[in-house]
Amino acid sequence: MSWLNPERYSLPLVISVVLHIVVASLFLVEWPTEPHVPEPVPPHVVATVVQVQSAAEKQRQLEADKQQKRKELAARREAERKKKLAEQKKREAEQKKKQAAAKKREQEKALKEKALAEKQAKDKAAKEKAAKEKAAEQAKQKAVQEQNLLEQMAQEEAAAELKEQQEAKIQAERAASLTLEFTDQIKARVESVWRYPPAVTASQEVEVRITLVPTGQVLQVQITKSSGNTALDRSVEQAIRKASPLPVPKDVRVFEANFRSFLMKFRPENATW
Amino acid sequence: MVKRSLIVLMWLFAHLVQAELLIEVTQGKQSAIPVAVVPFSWNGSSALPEDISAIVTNDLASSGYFRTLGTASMITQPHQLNDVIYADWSRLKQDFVVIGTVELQADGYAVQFHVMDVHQQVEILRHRVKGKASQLRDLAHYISDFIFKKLTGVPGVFSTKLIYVTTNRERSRFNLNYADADGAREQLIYSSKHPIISPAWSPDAKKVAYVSFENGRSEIFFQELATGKRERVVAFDGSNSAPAFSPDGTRLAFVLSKLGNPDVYVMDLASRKIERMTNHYAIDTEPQWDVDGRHIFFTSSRAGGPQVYKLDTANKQVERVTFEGSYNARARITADGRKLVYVHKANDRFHIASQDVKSGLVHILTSETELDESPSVAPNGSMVIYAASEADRSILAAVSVDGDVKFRLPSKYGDVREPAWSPIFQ
Amino acid sequence: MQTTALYKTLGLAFGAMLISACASKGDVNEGAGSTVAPTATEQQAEETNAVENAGVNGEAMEAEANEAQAALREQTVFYFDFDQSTLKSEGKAALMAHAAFLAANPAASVVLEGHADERGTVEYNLALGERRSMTVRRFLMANGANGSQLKVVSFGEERPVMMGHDEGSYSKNRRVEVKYQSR
Repeated sequence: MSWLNPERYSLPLVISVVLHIVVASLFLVEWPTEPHVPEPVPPHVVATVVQVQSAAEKQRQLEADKQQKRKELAARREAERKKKLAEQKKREAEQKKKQAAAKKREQEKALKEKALAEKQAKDKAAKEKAAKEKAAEQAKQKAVQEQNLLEQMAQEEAAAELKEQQEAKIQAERAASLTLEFTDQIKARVESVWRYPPAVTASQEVEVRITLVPTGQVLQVQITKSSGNTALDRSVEQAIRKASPLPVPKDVRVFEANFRSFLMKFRPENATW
Repeated sequence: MVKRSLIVLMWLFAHLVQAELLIEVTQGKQSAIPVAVVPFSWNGSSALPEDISAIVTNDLASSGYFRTLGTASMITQPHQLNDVIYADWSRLKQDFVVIGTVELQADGYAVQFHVMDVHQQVEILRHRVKGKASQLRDLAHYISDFIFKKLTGVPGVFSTKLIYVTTNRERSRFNLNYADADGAREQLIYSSKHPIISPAWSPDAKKVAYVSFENGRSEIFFQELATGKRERVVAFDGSNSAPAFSPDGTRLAFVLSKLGNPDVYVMDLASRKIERMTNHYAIDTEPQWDVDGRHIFFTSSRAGGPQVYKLDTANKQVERVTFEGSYNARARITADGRKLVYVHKANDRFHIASQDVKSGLVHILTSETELDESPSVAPNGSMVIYAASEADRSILAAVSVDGDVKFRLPSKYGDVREPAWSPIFQ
Repeated sequence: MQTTALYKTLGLAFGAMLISACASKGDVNEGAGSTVAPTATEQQAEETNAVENAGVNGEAMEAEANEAQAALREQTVFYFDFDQSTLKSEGKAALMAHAAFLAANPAASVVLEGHADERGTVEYNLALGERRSMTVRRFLMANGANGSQLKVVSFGEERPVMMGHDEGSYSKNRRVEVKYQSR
């Protein structure tokens, strides 16, 4: 029994199950509404750092001044000694001064920049916090909305399913009556052309599987249970071929469900041998 | 969520449980199967002494189970498998087509034939037979038997023989004749000025028994068919008649009136010892063995008029078998033991009736003839041959056991009476 | 006194029995009854008359009687109803004559050929014909003939005298023929 055998229910069953799982999962798994990656939040201790840094800087400044004064004294002493060296030293001192000033400037700049940066960061942090809170608020609202939507959809789905069930029931009833009607027609048609050989008894029985195309044309006749009398079996095969095309419903669903392939049992109940 | 998955499951389950559609057909027709026997091709220059396909056609049609197509209606007359156009035969409403060829060979003839199923468009039978010129009719009957068996499942009886008595109007000459089942090749096997009645075949078909009045009264004789040798077997005082061989051929049932009243006796043919079976003052006659070789059907008037009874040879117990009508006699059982055929009077007319052994249901087979008697059943149980009156002559007629087909056999002269159908030759 | 009455009664009874026995002597088992007794007594009366008148016209009367008998014996075919082997009354006189003749002529013998009409089966009709012959045989024996003089044979429906398929022919075929073998 191959998985791909069109006469079996295995493949449709598998496909059906998979489809249902896919559809169900679509409704059950939570998908996020927009792509959302929060930025890293800098620490809040910014102000304290600024204060600590200006005290240190003041100390450094004082020491630097002290150093400078000492150096100037030493330089004056030296300068007097050596004018040339003094100039150099002056120059060196000026250089150093420049350097110090530059440094100071740099430090001030740095400090300024830091302060600015810190301010910016602070602002940003505050902004981000506000934004985050807003987003959170929005998300919360959206969640509530989603929840309501889901509930609504669930209700609609339930209603739709109920309707579907009712429709299916009506369809099924219709299919059943259609099947019955055409079963009778097929039976009558085949009986009108079945000619069985002599020497058959009313208890002998042949079972065949018939395969049709939607026009009712007989595609294949296969004996599933022989009567033991080959002449009788043959008469059954002949009867089906003679009766082709068989009357079948135009409704494709009903045809596929019942008449594409079906069984027939033959029993010559009016035999008199 | 749970509710939804449950619904899904139920829907799936419903699809699984739904059974395949099954339609039951219980009525059909047991009518003649339309078959076309195309004239066989013949590669010789002069005409064949026998028209084989014509014999086959006649055989199949006379059986009553086939309706053959006249050659004039055939659109084409193929001889080879490839030449068969199934659509043509389907248009002619045939179920089967038979084609064949006859070839002349050094030592005789070779006949090849094919049978095709028109609706399934496939060859279902192919065979080749050979025979001498004198055997052409036998070959044809063999082919008929082959086709009959294949298409109906029942053995054919076209190669069997008949013996019957013919007599002239004045009843001054009685002939015992032997012929093919279709009436051809009639031969005289015994002739007498005195009546001959009750011919019967031995089961091995080598000899026949009959009653002859050549010695002034009824006596039972055996005659070997091959040699013509005759033997007087039963000749007691009174009347000796109604011989019937047991199925194994070792015993003979018959009727003696040596004690003043006709009763059924059985003789062991090896020892020639006889044993009395019935002991009743009524007429007991026409014994006929049942297929089990133990019971004997016979006619008795012990209830007033003749009725058919069954006797157990083991304990001589008798039970009545026929209950309809006032006259039932000369029972003959079919080879499968399912039907009993006998002469039955209804409304002052004598007909042949068949009775189902199990159910007791009686079915009158003949209606067109009135004075029917001496039924003899074909060894395949399909047909009954009997003597009937037509105008002022007695002729042989045949009817199928289900009473559907009736026809007459050709008879050349005088009255034809008392047919007996041979067994199937092995 | 009582014993005398008893003997008288017995004697009367015995006499009555004798008389009734005599009266039913000629009766055959077919149960025909009354017609037979007068025939017997008629014959007896005839003979008595003949004896009585012997002296006067003895020979003439005997000749007449013989003629009458011979005339009766002209009828040698006796008929029956369908599927019956009962003798019909109209034939009995003739049969009596045959019986008488056979009784008087022990050397004579007859063959009683039984027949039937064509309806029904051959062997059953053979037996029916034989039955009819047997009926005639019994009658003849009851009327003086000896069994050894009476041979029975049946031809069933094989030798009809009339070929028609009507009752007229049939009734003529349902018969027993008395055929003298030697006289």
